[in-house]
Amino acid sequence: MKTYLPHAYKKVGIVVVLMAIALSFLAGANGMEKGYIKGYNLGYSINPSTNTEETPLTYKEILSPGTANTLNWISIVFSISGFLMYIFSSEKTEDEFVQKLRYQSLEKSLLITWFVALLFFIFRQVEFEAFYVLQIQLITYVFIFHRYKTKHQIN
Amino acid sequence: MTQAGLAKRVSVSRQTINAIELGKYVPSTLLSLKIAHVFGATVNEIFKLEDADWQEK
Repeated sequence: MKTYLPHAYKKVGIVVVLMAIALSFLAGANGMEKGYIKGYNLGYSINPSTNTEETPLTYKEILSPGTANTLNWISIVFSISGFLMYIFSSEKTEDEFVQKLRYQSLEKSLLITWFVALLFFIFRQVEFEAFYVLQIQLITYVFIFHRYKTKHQIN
Repeated sequence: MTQAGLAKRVSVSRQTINAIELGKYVPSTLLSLKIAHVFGATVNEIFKLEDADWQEK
């Protein structure tokens, strides 16, 4: 597997992925607020100290659906590009042994991704979009490759 | 010669030489030839086939 970027891009990739995680949290702000309000209204409808009914919280969206959707897309793009940057950056010493570890990681991540995708397809518990398949494969690859590197003490 | 010294001579990492020594990695023909060249020997003098290599995996 050819690497196209210098070693320093690994850190850039990590920063981009962290930004993607932050953006995805931000994009889910409305959902989090809805959940919080639902829980609050279920649990605290009566104030035990005054024995009076509390005013239930009302939902007021933090982000417009359009903004949330845009943030979600930016997060996906950042996530995928960050992982790709990390994957295609070379190690400090990129040699044939590292290349072998890359191929092994790629093979395992492909099998794991297909297995997970198949499980989701069979049980149909949640909607599973193509982008998630890509992300799972990239995340799995990064973890497996990192594990190999740790095992062989490659920095 | 140290692992690091050999690694530097053949342009690989020390970990690669270590993996070869431990039998965890079989080097390519090119790397084998380079290692042999560094020691002034032939590939056959440095690398040997073992019985396990003949068994189907």
